[in-house]
Amino acid sequence: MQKKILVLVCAILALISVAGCGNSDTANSGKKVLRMAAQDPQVPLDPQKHTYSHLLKISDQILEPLIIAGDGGQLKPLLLAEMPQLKDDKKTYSFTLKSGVKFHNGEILKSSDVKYSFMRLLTEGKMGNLIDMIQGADKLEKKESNDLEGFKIIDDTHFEITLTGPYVPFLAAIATDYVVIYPEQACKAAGNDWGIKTLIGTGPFKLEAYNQGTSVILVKNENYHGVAPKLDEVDFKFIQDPNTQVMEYQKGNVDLLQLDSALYPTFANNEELKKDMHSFSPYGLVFLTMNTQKISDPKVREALSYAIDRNAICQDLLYGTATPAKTFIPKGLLGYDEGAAEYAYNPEKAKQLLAEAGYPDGIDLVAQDNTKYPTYSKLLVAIQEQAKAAGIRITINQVDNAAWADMKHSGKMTMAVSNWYIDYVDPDGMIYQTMSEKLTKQNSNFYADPIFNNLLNTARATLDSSQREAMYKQADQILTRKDYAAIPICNETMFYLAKSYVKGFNVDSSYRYYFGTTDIQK
Amino acid sequence: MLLYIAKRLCQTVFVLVGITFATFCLINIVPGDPVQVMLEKRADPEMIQQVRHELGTDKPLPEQYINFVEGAVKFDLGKSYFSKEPVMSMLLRGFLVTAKLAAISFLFAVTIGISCGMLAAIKRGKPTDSFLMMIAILGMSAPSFWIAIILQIIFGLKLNLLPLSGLDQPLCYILPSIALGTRYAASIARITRTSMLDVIKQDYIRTARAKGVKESMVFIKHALKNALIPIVTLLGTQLGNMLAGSMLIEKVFSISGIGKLAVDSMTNRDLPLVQGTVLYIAVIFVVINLIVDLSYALIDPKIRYGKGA
Amino acid sequence: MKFFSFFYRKNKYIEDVAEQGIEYTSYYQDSFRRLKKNNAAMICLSVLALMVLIVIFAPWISPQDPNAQSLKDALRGPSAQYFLGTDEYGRDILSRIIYGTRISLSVGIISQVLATAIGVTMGVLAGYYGGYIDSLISRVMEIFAAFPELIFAMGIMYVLGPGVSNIFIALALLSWVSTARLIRGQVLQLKQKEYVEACIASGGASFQIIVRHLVPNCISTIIIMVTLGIPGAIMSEAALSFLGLGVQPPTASWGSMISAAQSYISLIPLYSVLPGLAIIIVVISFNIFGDGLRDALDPKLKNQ
Repeated sequence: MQKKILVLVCAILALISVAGCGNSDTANSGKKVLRMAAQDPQVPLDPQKHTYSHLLKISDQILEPLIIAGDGGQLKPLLLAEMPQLKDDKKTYSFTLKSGVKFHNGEILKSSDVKYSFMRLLTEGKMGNLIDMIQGADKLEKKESNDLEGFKIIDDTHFEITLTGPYVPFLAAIATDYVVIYPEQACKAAGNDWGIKTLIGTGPFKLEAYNQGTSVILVKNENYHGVAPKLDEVDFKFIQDPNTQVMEYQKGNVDLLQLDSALYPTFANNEELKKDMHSFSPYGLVFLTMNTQKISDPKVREALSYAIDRNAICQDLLYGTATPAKTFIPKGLLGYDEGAAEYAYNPEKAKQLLAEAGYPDGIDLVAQDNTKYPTYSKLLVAIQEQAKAAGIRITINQVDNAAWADMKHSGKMTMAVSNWYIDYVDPDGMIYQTMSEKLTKQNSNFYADPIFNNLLNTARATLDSSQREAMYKQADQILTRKDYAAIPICNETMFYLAKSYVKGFNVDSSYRYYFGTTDIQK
Repeated sequence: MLLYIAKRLCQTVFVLVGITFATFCLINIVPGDPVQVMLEKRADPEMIQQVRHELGTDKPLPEQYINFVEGAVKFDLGKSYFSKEPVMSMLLRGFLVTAKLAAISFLFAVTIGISCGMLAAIKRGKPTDSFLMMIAILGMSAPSFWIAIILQIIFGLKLNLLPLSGLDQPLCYILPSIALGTRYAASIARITRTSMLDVIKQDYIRTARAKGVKESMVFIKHALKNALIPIVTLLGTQLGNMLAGSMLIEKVFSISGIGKLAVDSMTNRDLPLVQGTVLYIAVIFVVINLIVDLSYALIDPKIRYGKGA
Repeated sequence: MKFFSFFYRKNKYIEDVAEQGIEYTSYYQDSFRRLKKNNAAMICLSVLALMVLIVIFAPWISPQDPNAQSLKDALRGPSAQYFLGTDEYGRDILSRIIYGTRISLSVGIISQVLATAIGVTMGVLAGYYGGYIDSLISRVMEIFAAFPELIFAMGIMYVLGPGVSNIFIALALLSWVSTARLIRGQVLQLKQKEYVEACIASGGASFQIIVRHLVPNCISTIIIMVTLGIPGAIMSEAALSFLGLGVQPPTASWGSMISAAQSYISLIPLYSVLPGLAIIIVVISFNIFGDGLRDALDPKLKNQ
């Protein structure tokens, strides 16, 4: 009987090894293949509909917007012959498409494709708000009209876009990786398969295969309209566990990965990995969002701010991978207040403020924690302990992502660690997209200071940049120093590992992974 | 026997309906809304309404459930809210991955478990017995994902012998199978030994021995067969558990099998996928239970199911 | 070949006991005497007793407050101040392991006691009464058993909300079925025995038959199931904590410590090894003690 079992085991093992042989990669010799460890986006690869950063790392190689933002937010035409011209009415832009740009299926890019893509974003996309200041966008969104009034096609390469009023960040907004241009016919024809079986753009790489749950394979676009890509193939391997990602990197099975910041101390001490480690600081902020209805006294919120030791959090808890934040609008954006004082850590002052607010014996607060983001959970546990010294007793209520989203949108959240990374390089993208009245209602914050909101609304329509700067500085001051509706904690630095033979690759503050100019030189 | 099987199949349908109904209720009680997850940062009320309408979650609950059952009867479990892929094909893909891993782990667990258990029983009281049982107890006592990480570090990283993640080549199966199978092997070994020791004290074993039957034959032919009932029960549950996918092992080794599907769907509240995975796992368990019960009847004719069940 | 059940001797023993008029309690006294002779089991029992003492006297034993953070000392190796090093918040790992004993032991024991209580009741009822009761219980059992474990636990925890007492309930509901099924199987076999049949025929009260004849015969199974169940429960707690559905921070539990330590396994291996070892020690102790208890309680050995 044991013999029989042994024979059976051998037979099965043999069968598996025979079955598996077809998969071993021997065919890749000579080809330049970049392998990146990635997280499974779990959705169709359609950045108009899904906005996960895991997805953008892939779609940015395939799809392109009209304009592209470089380091520091510098805008450059990508699918355009030149930067759009703003007419004298200060709200109409005229565009000229670059000639001879071809989609991966050979079709030539036309004005109608752009209009189709804009309309699709408005009617079906998640990020319609990026372009909803185009005239007639609201009617289209509400299905009162089938046309986008403000978008006028002049001919196949020329078109004009008219806004409802002056809106300064418009070009920055259409330079984001959600406002990508799809070929009208192919996209319509693909229907629900778009982003799963077919995905056609103008980018340096073509989608070869999207093996859901396993990998994405991209191949070189031979007819790319820009500088020809040097890589033959880009493979995104989905590896869920961040530890495993790094181990695969160490074994040489992947060439590139974004490092989970929790793993930083481990790898900062590893000489070999340290030299492959690169950092970048995207424009954004980690902050405590306070429910201004449930924790309604600004003094309590201010006390909490005094109870947080930001230096210890940044230096010791996050191993120096973050710097204490002192404003809501981060450094590098217009309206950043260089002169703002650092937040003091002063538990005694916090106690005093609490006493003034009517809580001489301290106060009990509940904080929600989304288990999807372990780094922020960690931050909250540190804050919980620090706040104890100031008499603020925080109970942490851990919830998963779905319950979190529900609580957040239904106003049940009391306070939480939150983050925001801008979609377009403009202070509007930082502060309006998070703290404007309309949005705070949807994220359990409920902050609605009239002066603050007036500043935000005026600033986005003000063309003079020094006036804008002053307005944003003032708004930031009101938000974070007077009302403490959002308590800035820190600005994170992010890290990626890249093998030394990966050349011409760099992630900058735009947080964009782009392999169009990347090469492998072994 | 045929009547019994028919009866059991009817009961199975009842169980499956019960399970889908319970799942449906559970997921609608549990806080969290898939639409809110999908829309992430930008969930304004109009957009939420629009997406709900697209997904059909704006319909009354009973209608949603009836629609699901109607679909399920036609083997159509709907489409995932998130990936828009038919749930059936996602399950199939997960199953192929999980089933291969489960088959190898199960084989590993059964071979190691039963042979060690028998060896320990034969050598009862001797150092071999103590040693094997010590190992078995150790194997049972270490959390599987802990074993997985340690295996990864030792064999994958330090010795650089085996692949660390994925299942794209045959060698990949070794570490996850061991990590997954160790606890099962250990408990099989224990229960085999216990059960064997119970059996070999019986008169008929003594008789067999007295008749001069070879000791190893006594164990394999006479004792093992009678010791099988508790073993088979355990094996059934274990195979079910393995086929249901191990979320932790799949997570550590980045395997996208049923376990990952189940957890992802739950954390996203992706109702069609939750229903699908639960239904799949339910079918597996029910079928295995059926087989276990039938094999009882084969092993022990005294348990007369015609009457009892 | 004639089929002999391995329960045959057991039943014969009980009949013998009845004939000889020996007090039933002496059976447990004998058992305890036998248990005392089993060195391994006694060592494990003392380990478990030690654990219980640790649970009770945790505040006095632990060198530091388990939740006190010292971010500057985060992720240090062992030192005079921190005997076993510190975690990512600079908390003393030793103190957290000591306090973690409270969570792990209580989760393991309470959930399994609950599970066994439910399991034995259901199993005996199903096996003894048969018919519709058996059908009903069996269907309920199948529904429970067919629910994927983790999804089920997650679902319950989502509904009840996170917290230790809810873990007891979730894990009990998760693990009673296997006990019930095994007990039902054994009761089905026991019912075939002449003496039980005789009891039933002579109009013995069901309750008495169950308590005097059926349950005692299932003791070894119950012990094995509890022993096998406790480590499972401790590990399920780890999995739930891993998913953020277990104990809430800053409470220390071994499971959540291992989960947290995963990120630092190559930097400070002790952090994940130690709570793992703590789990192994407790689980091994339960296993060996459970074995010893089984041997001691098992009447067949007495006859030899």
